Amino acid sequence: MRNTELSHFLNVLRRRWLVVLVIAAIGFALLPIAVRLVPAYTAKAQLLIVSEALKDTTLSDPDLPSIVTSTEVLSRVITRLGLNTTPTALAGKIKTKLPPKSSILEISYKDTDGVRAATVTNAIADEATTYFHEIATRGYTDVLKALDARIAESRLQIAAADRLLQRASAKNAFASTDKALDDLTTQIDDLRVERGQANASLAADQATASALRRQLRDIDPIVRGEILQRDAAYQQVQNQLGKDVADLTSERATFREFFPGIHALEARIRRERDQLSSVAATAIATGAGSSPSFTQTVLDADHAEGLVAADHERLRAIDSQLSAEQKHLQQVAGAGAVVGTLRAQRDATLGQYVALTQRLSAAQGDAAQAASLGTLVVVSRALPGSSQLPTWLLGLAFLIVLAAIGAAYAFDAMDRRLWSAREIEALYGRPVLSQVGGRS
Amino acid sequence: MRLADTPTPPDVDTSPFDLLRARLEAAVERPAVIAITSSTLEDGNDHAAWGLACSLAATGYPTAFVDARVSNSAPDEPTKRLRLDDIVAQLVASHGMASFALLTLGDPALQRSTSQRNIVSAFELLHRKFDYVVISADSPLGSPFATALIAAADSVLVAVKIGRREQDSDVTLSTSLQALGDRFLGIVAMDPSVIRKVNALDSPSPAISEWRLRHAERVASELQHREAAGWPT
Repeated sequence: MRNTELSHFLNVLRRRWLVVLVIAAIGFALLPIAVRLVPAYTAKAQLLIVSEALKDTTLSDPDLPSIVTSTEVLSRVITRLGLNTTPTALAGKIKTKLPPKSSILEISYKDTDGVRAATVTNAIADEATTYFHEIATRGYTDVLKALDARIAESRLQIAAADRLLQRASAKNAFASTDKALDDLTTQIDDLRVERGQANASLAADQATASALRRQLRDIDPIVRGEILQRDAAYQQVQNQLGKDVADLTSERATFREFFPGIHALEARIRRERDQLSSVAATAIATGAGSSPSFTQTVLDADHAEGLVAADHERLRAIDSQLSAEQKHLQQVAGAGAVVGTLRAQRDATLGQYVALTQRLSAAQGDAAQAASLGTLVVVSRALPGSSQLPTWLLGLAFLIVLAAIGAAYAFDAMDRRLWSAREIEALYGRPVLSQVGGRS
Repeated sequence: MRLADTPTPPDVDTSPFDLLRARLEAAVERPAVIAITSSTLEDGNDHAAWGLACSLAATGYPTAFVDARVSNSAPDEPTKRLRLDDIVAQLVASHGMASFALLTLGDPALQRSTSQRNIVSAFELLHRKFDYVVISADSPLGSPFATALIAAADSVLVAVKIGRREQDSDVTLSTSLQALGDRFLGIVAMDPSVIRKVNALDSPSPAISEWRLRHAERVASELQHREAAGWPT
């Protein structure tokens, strides 16, 4: 029976040698292309499993091979490396090996390129590690994310407050400090004191001027006397008048009133008196400067008036400065209020920020403690994959030969020619008793 | 018509037919008439019949090889004057202790004048003289004579050339031979590389040609003798 099959096989090869040759030639000609298409490079990475579940027999072991080949992990790998494949297709190229009672999970990945094989393998190891860590700390992840978000929000608020403060400070340099406000207040106080002093000085100077004006009125007779005394015409008229008055007195004493000279004398005296009044008026009108007292008093009065005017001017200046300073103070006070509010808000936000960072630290500590219960560590990273080409080539060459033989059998089956005893027997329904010639 | 006998079988290599001979020895009781036919002319049934006859003769069985194919007949054969039973009777009567005899029945006129009963009678005569009569017959599909030969034969074999295309005539022949029941023994597969044209009268085979030359004169003499003796024509 075996000989019959061998004989049939050899007969098929003999009959279909051209088919075998063509198929084999095509197959071997396409071999270099297939070498590029078929993954022949394998890269391996090893992960160390640090898990309480492995120590505690009451806990079930995590199914790490399934995690490694999970859609989540492989999707991350594809996204990270920008691979043009699907998680399902990628999973088909991955093999995991976790020997019983071993803490080492071996990942192997096949690719047509050795460097890419190592890159993908390491990415799978990294993403699996990360994902396993996420699973272990999933309860804390949301808290950490929320805290991170709130801390980021606080940072933004602090930055915004800083910008507002900077803007407010730029508008008023004094507003940014309390000392500047105090200095401004002190300046106003000083101006107020100075104004009081100026007011006092004004009052004194006004009093002096008033006194001098009164004195100027009071010394009028003296001034008139001094003027008339220094006026020659007045003195002459007065002397003449004195003499005439004396003569009159003498006449009256000597004569009776009926004495005709007396009347003339009296008329003369009247004329002289009128003249004296007129001369006096003229002298006073024209000779005021000749009175030292009057001159001194006028000078003093003018000085006093000048002091009053100066005091008024000084007072106006002080009032103006005071008004400006007070206005400035009002402005500074307003800006200071804004700055103070902003500063208070910033301080409050900073306080929140500090509190949040403290909570974040605590949460991170808790997460780290939780993560220590189950951790994956990459202990051996993949190096550029080694080619398994020779073995694979042998297999492919064997497949090509098989395909060629299969094609020969297929051609033979489709051929209606009677090549074998089996076919002849099937046709005639009787056994082939003998084959004459050829290979039976 | 030619008929001849020889004390020894032709000196030919019968080893390719030894297996067939051995199986026939086991399957067929002697004496037996074995007809070998085929669905096409090129299947090599005459070669198979010739080789089987030689192998049987070489083994020691008195054997007759009957070439009944029309295509192997010669135009100048004087068989028209003879009937089949006469020919066979002469062969049996003249055949001495020779272990191998040759008879050609390819003449179309002879075949047309031969009935089924003649054939049965001829076979009965042959049974008396020969352990095996091996007949190379045409396809029964186109020859009533071949059909009659096959119907009268003890066993029937079909020669099929390996590598030729399957034809409708194969199916028809197979169907017709199934009616023979167990008498349809089986197939002789003939490799194209070994098939030789075997013509008992004009064969290019050196062995047959030599045999023919050695006995042709004797055959002719035999015929002349019979005619002179007043055998009916």
